[in-house]
Amino acid sequence: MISLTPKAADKVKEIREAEGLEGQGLRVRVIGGGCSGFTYDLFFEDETTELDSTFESDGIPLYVDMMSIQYLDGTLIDYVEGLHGAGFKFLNPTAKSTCGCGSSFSA
Amino acid sequence: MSDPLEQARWLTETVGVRPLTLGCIHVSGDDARTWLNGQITNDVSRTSSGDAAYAVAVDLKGRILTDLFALDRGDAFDLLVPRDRLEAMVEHFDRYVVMEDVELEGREITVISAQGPAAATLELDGFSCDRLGRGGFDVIDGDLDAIVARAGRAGGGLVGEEAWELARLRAARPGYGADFDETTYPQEAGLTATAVSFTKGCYLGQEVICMLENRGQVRRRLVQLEGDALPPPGSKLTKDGVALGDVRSGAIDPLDGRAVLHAYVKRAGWEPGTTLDSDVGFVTVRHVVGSEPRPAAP
Repeated sequence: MISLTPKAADKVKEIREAEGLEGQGLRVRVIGGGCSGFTYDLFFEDETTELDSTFESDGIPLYVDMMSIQYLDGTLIDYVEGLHGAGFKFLNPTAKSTCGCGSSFSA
Repeated sequence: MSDPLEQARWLTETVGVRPLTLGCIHVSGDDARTWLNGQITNDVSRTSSGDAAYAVAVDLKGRILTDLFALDRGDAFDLLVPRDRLEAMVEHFDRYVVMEDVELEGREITVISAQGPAAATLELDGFSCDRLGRGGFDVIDGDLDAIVARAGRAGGGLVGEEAWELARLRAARPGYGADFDETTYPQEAGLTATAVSFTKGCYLGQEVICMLENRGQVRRRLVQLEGDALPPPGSKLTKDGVALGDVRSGAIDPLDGRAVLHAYVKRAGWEPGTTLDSDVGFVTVRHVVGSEPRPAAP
């Protein structure tokens, strides 16, 4: 299972509305690459496959493919703002380490 | 076949041809380019079909897993790696394919490699792969006899391992296995100028490589040395009784009978001109591998 904090969910809704994608879900996946080997990837999508795991968090449908869920199970996605910038932050219990910018992890 | 000294002269002054048995990892699929760019140190995001890029693959801690030439085939890449790294590198890369459209296939191949300043004049149907620091081309599935004949017309010919190794040492080119392995950072082996892009963005191990570069904390560097006698690989190098380095590879240059060798040496001893002691006598640092200007041809 993966989930969004209320702040992250609000941000997702804000972006989704701004892009005219109301009703679409958020695809969360892991791709190879990044300083620590695996990188998070987020995008809106309205189609799922029978191999996807689907969740809903604060009104946002979340879709995760069968490979990525192995790396993401238990992940909480937050949205943080600070002096160094703003962005989604992944609190991933599977990650052994995370790179400095937080966009990639090792497993 | 001619003698190694003559062959080494071809590699330095004209062109020498040698068949190399290598591992080849074919990377295909719609995501091949973007995925591969996230796995190796050099930039393949904007190469074109027919281009070749020298790179290393490093682990999470920034240590070298292998060096490689990435051959751009337009919709796919062939990665040429040392034969003994093939299985391990297929396994390593496969671990980082999650749901991307990427297929990996490893096989052993023979590459006809033409190296030396006249290699370009042979007009070979191959990839520009400079293996010995003087320019060169690798031809996949090439006709060895035909390429050797072309080299002969350019004043070169077929070369053996001894001449190849001598040319490598003279040109201060680091060699996988001999000079660097899974215990080495690219900066230590002098590979940043040829194999690492610091502007390409993220790849596996990039954070460590960049920190090492920006903080300048390399404790040892690969250097080229010369001496009257050749200390064998593993020999310790000292200065005033303090251990400063260890020998990795070397040969006696038949041109002058002197030893030319590569060794890792700590900061206190890596400046060119520094004399260090070994079990077989003094050796002098001639060049820091990877620095400019490159060693001149003998």
